[in-house]
Amino acid sequence: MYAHPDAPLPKVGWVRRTFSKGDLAGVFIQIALVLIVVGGGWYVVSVTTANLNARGITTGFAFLSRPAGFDVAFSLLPFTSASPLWMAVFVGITNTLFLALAGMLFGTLLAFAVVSFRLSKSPLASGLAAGYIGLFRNTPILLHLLFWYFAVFAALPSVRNGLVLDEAAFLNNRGLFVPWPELAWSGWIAACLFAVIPMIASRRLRKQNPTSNFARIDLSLLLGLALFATVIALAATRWDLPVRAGLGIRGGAQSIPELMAVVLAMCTYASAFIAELLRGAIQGVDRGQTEAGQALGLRGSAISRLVIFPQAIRVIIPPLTNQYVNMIKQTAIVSAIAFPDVMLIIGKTVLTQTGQAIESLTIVTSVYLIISLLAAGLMHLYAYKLEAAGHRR
Amino acid sequence: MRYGVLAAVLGTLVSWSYGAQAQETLAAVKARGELLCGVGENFPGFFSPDSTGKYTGFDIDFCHAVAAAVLGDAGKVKFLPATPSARFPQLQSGQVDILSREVTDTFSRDTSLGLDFPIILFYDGHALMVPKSLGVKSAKDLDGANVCTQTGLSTEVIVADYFKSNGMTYKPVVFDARDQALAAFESGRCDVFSSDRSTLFAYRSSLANPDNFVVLDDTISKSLNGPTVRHGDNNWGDIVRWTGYVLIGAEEFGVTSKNVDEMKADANAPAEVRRMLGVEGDFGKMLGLPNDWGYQIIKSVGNYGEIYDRNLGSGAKVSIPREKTLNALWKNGGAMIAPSFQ
Repeated sequence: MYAHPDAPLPKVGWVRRTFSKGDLAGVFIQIALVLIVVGGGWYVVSVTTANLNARGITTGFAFLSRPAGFDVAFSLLPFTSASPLWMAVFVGITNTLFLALAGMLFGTLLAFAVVSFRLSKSPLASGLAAGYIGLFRNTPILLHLLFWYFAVFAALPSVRNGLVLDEAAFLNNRGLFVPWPELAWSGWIAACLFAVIPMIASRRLRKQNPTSNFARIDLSLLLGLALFATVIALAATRWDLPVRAGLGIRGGAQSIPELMAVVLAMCTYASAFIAELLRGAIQGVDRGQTEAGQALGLRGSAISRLVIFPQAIRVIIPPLTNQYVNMIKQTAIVSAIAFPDVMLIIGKTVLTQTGQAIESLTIVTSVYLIISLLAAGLMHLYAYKLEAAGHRR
Repeated sequence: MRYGVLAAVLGTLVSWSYGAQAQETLAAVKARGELLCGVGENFPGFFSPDSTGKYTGFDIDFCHAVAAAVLGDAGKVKFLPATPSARFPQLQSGQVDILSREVTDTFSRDTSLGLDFPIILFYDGHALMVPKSLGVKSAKDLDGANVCTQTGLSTEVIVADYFKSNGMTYKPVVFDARDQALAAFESGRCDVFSSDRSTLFAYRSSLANPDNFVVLDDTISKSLNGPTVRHGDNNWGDIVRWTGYVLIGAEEFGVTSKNVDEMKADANAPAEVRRMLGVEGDFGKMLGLPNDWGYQIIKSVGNYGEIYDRNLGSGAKVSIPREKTLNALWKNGGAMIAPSFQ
């Protein structure tokens, strides 16, 4: 943009004007303002601490080294009631991250399916997808969460007469129990390495022959998953089978109903929003691009994969970042259905067990802030890389 | 509720940073002409609003008693809902003068939260409610159970300790809200619902089919519950403690809301009763209260036994047996005893 020579000078803020003039008084005002803000903050903190001490209320984060005393229903880290409270903080963080990642991953995958229906030429498919999107976008997520939990998973048969598959897998109102392989760490690492081979191969292949079927990311993902499962099955020394014990089921890997309900609710809910973002981005790509692809002799699927999508994804990153950050914050509603996320463990249980309200809520606030900022930062980085790649071509 | 906690914490921060020392609770209550009493949302028998929004219950009557002692009018109380997670910040910050909502006294609450528990007015303990169809007779048969609880109480730690010390496994299912916890338990998500015994009786009565559920006889913990005040205001703590002792002492001496006028006029009444009712000595003044404080308490709410029967007796909506429990008078083998009015 070039300014017209006669155009009025752009309006600049008071601060910049003061400084550009080299106004000494302005500089002093700035310094005074900073001092007032810092001093005021310091005053509030010091008076609060002094008053807390005067009232015999212990402050600080030392309480985190006390033993937790409570158990947690679902944890990816080893945790017992004898673990220290800071361990409970990490359990809460990993559970929240797990929810957010599962929601983002499955929500995005589902969104691709929904948007392909939505953009299909069949009025039935398109109408169904429109209905799905309309339903989810215009209702609160708490409703979906309570629906999945109380109407679907609570309605599963009881633990004593639930579904049993070959005495190895159980599905009932206590959750889903499946056998779990026991293998050395090296086995897991080998499986992960094998899983990425098809993806690396497809990247290579894409450079030589972009339209080859083996260059497709979905196929390479599936292939990687199959390889992963094969390696695990071969390397497993023993399978830990779930068995009935007492009133419940012990052993194996358990997915509690709360987890399944919240992942289902979050990914179906988010898929509607992401599908709309995708549709907007795809339809925003100029029609000429499709025609250019056709002129080159590309098939329909290759056009959307190689021409439309790479352009759509640049448009979609900022709104998708918003959506992902929203999802991270949305995970906090799961305390309504007893899933132990950071909000329930720290913001409720630890807060009420220790009474350290300010400290507990500070931890919860920082956790959400850091996770959300990190997610946004990573997405910006990705957008920057795409942008750079776009310029180079 | 999340915002409730935030609001309470913000309020706490603001009041702390202003340095508003609430040492003089009595002066503040007198100046305000009203007692601010923090109670829970709804716990039939202990505190629950009726259809007109008027609170009734065991803990409600205690606040009326304190108001009668301090202000001479049992009606001058404002009840404020205090959720489990927001209750302590509300008291600490001075938003309420007293919590009367079955708060359990524990070491860490007493020592590190700036709270004081002047008197125990209700002895309770954690118990376990199970569906009758489970066919369980004792808590020892619960290995592998899923246990529903509500956060904000000591329940999570008590259940963890109990199952661990008995060598049993369990899965906790911890809800934030009571209604959802009960709904999940009723739907069969859990084998067990755990809370204080009194709470379980109240909750059981609110289930669709109370007869399908049973509260096991085992008591897995002790809970000593009573009103809670801020640490450091000793005079206010004394007032709350002796209000409770007047209730208990009056029951022991047979002083009731019906005969309190005769007792007061009776020159032959025991000296302790005469001192308690303010006819002899100036015990009220020693607390900074009107001398007839004891009379006002009994006249308006009755003695401990009357309060118990009205809210938790056999005729009440929630009935919790009192005989042979610690809540009986000491003369009947319980733990309810008041020091002498000397």
